[in-house]
Amino acid sequence: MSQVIAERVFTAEDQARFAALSGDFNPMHVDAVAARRTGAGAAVVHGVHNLLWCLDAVAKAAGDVARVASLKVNFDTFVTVGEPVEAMLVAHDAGQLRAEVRVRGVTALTAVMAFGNSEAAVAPKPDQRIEPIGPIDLVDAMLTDLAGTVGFATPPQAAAALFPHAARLLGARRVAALGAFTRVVGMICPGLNSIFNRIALDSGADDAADDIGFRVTSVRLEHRRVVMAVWGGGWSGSLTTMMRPRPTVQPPMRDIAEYVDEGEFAGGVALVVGGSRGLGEAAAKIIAAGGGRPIVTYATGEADARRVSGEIRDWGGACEIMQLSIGSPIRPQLEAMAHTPNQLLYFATPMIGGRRTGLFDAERLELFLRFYVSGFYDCCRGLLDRSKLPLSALYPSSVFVEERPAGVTEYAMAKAAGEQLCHDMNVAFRGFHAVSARLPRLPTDQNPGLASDARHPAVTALLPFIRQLTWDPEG
Amino acid sequence: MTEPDVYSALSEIFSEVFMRSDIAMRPELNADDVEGWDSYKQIEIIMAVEERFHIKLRTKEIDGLANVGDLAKVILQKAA
Repeated sequence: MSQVIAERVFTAEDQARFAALSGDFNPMHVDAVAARRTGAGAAVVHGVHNLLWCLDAVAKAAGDVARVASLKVNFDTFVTVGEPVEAMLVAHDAGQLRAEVRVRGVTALTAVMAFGNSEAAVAPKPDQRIEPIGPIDLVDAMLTDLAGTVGFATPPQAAAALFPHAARLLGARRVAALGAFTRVVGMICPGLNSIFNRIALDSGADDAADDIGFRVTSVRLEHRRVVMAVWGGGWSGSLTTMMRPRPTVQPPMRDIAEYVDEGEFAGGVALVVGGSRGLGEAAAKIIAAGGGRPIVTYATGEADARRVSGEIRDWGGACEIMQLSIGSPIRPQLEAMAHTPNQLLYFATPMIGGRRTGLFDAERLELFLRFYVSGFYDCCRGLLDRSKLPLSALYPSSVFVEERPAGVTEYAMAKAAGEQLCHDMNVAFRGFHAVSARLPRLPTDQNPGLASDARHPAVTALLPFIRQLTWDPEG
Repeated sequence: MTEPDVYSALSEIFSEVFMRSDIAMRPELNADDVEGWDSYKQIEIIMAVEERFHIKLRTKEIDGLANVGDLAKVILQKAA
């Protein structure tokens, strides 16, 4: 009977409204710049927001149904802000109802409600009340036995106003309690770096209180998994969550300076495209440590770029920042520069992982080609035309061009195309020299939590290639 | 415990983890065959197996699993 019962696109305004309703202001949901450093690469719709929207549509479509005895939900994959989603009623009989939210043909959420009578007893709530102001970044050791009572951020009537049909189906307080559950996960436990995976609830007695209790029941650090018991608001059950890897931190200047010879990049003015984090940040710091002047560009992460330039200057190096967007014409953006670079290090990238449904996706290839081929070409061309000075450029290719693990077809294609472009530009352009570097997988936001034997793997991988650029244009 | 016991228990575990009752257990079944079988669901399967069979799987053993047949073998060895 699988049928689409509602469609929508969640906007940033929807996110802000739901964050205020639930009290879950995790930056993953409401801060697009911070969210780009998570595994999703963009702001993510609260799973419970998606759930309540789906349940609201289901309740509207299904009409009068029996009492809900239990609710189980799998949050299967992220939905990012701006993606079209569909709510589907998959099965419905006297005993249960099954609904899904799908995004680009993939199941994002599965919800199963069983009907009948259940009045799970509600235990007293912990004495410790927790009212988070911002998302807490708990150290692992604090998770064990953590317990508390968390109030609803807004009264049940507010939840009922936003999800009227769901409130009729479940009761306004149960809808509000679901909001409090995402508040617990996103703001307290695991808090800042969390992923909400699963809800398993029995319908409990309504305790007429606008709060819920939670207690951590299982922490498995090796799997980054945290399970909590929750009760109150007319529910009793468990929440399964994961601790998301923290955004990858590149080494500080003082560590990087140990690898670099003093003055080896002196006189260089290097445009580091995408230098606000990841490999671009490491490259900018390497150049600054060797006495060169990096110009760090950012597309949206101005705060990250300022952090990098601040670190470099505090250390005693030189660094500027500027905005450069690969999505817009490059040449006018380059013309605004105060300095004339003689090196280009090009780290602009879209999110590499992400949703794919088949072996080959032409849209993904197009996206990668725009970043890894056209963007690079336009930057080289723009700099060459601007100054007529010699230019050397680092093109970060990938070992995936040869190794070809599953799931990197379009990425490897675009990087191979970039290598060919480097080769042909080296032949055709006077005063130009591109170095294409087949880099291994390195710990960045694109590979969060990637383990490595080397102490500073990004630095040791990049440095030999950066040294191959021309650092003394006169020589 | 026999092999059929293990497969029958795995069938229940998969139904619970994926919230679907239509996944037929067979030794060759792997992550490519089931929509949504990602690293998180893999951990949920392992957690449920550990609880159900009162065993503990080491990371090395988990990393070596290519399909349901491998998982059933490890369970039979450990739970024996």
